[in-house]
Amino acid sequence: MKFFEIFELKPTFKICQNNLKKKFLELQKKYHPDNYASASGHEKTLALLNSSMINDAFEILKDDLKRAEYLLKCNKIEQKNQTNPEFLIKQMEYEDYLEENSHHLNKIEMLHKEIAQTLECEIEKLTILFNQKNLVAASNKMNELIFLSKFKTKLKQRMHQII
Amino acid sequence: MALLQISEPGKSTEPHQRRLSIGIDLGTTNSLVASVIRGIPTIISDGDHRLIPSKVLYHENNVLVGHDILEYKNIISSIKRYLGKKLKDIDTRSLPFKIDKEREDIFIQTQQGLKTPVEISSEILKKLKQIATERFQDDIFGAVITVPAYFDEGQRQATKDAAQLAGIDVLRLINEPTAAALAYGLDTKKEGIYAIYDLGGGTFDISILRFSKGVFEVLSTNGNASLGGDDFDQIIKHEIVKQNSLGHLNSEDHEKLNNIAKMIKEKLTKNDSLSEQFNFKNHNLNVRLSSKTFENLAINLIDKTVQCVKNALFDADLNVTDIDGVVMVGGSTRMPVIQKYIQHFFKQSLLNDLNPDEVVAIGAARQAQALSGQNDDDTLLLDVTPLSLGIETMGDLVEKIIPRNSTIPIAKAQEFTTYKDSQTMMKIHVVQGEREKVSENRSLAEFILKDIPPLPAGAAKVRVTFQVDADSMLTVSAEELTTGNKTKVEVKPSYGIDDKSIRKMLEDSFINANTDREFRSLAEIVVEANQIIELTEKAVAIDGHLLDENEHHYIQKSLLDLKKEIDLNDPQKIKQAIDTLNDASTSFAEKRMDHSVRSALSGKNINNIDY
Repeated sequence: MKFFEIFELKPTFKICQNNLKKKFLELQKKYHPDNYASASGHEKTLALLNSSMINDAFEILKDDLKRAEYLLKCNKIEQKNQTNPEFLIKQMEYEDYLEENSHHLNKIEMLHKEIAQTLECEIEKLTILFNQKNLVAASNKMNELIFLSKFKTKLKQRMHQII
Repeated sequence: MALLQISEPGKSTEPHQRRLSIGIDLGTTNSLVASVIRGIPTIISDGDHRLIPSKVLYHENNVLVGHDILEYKNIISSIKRYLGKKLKDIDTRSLPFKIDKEREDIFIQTQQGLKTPVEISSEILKKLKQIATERFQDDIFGAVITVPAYFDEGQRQATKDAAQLAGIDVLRLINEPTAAALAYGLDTKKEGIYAIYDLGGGTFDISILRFSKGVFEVLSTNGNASLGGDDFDQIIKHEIVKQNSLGHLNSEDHEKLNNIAKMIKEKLTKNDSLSEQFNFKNHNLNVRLSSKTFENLAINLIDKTVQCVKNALFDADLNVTDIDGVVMVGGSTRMPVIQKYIQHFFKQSLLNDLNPDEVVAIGAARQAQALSGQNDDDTLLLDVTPLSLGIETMGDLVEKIIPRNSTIPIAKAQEFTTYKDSQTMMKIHVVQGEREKVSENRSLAEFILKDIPPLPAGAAKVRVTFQVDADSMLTVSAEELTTGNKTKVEVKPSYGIDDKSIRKMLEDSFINANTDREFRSLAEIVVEANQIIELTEKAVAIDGHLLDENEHHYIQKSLLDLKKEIDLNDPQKIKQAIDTLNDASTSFAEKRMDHSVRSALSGKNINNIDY
């Protein structure tokens, strides 16, 4: 829970992004090595370590999926590397669709929209599970969510390439 | 009456507390040095010159940098392109200098033997440092040096080494676009997202920055290291060659045509069309070019820059409409055609009222001032890694440890395991780049982790930690975890020259500097001694009759002593002998002066009395 403590946040899945960002900038202004350019070697090293940790923590907490994984890890919930068969079939269908339509900007845009909506919806569900402290169920959802997120990036990259 | 100076309360006051910090734009074509003077970032000029050509000339006994050497042959230019690279990284077919092709690293042939790009760059930095110390009559506390955002680890390390060699303490390396944003004082304006479009002589750079709550964040960077203003000269050159059906051209002809092309390009920034004759190989070259034609020729090049802009926006997850301001940097952005297209692309007017050649140095000076702890504004720069960093795993594949565009400083660790049973060593190969195959990325460093306990394959655990500091410099360490025995190795990325050679180069440069100085002072004093001997002997020959016997003897003895000392090569003793001779001849000089005035009055030709 160290990362939440750094930003003085409660260790919950739902966090206020504005508060996180505000606190991040505040902390960096205090600990960034640039503020220690003429300090002793020891202070410089300390600043480097602190500032690195703040950056690392911020990167994890600002991202919904990374934050979820971090919470699960802190609660010692093992993530299973299994995806339910139904979703696996869906996954393959998505990939096939992208391959068949890899040059159709419109179709990729449509799929991107659909995936984005699904992802948003699933994250809502994940929030509820975290609120209910149902961490095992939350953990079981992670594989699906990670696929959706990666696939969304892949679609966006493809769209960028076509344009 | 002299006015007493009173400083503002709380600001740095007494002269000895002032820390002279400078900003350096170490450019491919030109370099600049700037400093904050009475609160205003100012370019420090070398005489009348604000831009110092990044050109170096090695003579047998000295090294010259900048304007004085432009007419010479064998000048080394554009050295920044080769800084931090190995021979295999560069195209050796069209180099502007001779290199030693037998070696893995780049060694350039000069009058003073083989020199590395680091040493040559350090000569430019020494010159810039000298300009600043002479201007302020003070030592430099430290410098902020700018580097292109796309510079990799090796290139950044090489820049730092060059600074060290020049005796400059580097407060921070900052990315050129970030410096430009600081120059425009975007940090004093409202919060927002800014694009920095930097088209220099040989490189193009685009960065997306966000400024909010006193912090500058680089969101993404992109660019093309071999696209710049020179390419626009080339398309004009091709047009000249085409219009005049020029046949075979040697390298001197090309140089001449390059200059003509550059001149035409500059004229087209002010005029809509151009029709002129140029003298070329005793012929007249006719050139007609309208800005519309130039635009058509240039559009492909501009498109290339726009593609980079699109990539940078994509990486930052932004649209064109998210950009609140566009800063233009680099002399090439003066071209109206560029201004037009970029304005059109971003759908807004551009920030271009500062001199585009100077903005980077100005911004560096501001940051240098802030880092030497003399600023009241507390803007913070949060930079990102320009390229991904990773290590080689089985099958020529890269495992990325720190992805591109991560905010720095950052530390990341990842665990790896052994491939074979009883494997006791592991090769850690650090690479940088975006490609998946090791061979297609830049190799930064390689080291061996020893003393892994012999275990079945996959049982040992090795944690590799990457630490990138605020300058984007990387340190890698690896430790073996299973036994609790920690073996830790730290490496700094190399660019072919290891730490030991750097230290040797440093030592050599100090020794050379000392012998250089001694040599110079001996040579200078011998010239002075010979002059005074010649003058005295001449004077004795003409006006010896004015001296009494004692005076005559004293002068002759002093002359003899001085001649002896010259042969013994000790500058200090020569100086003493000169002083003795001067003393001996003081009254003689007075008598001669008196005599010459009388001679003149009595109608003698005064030209015969040359003293």
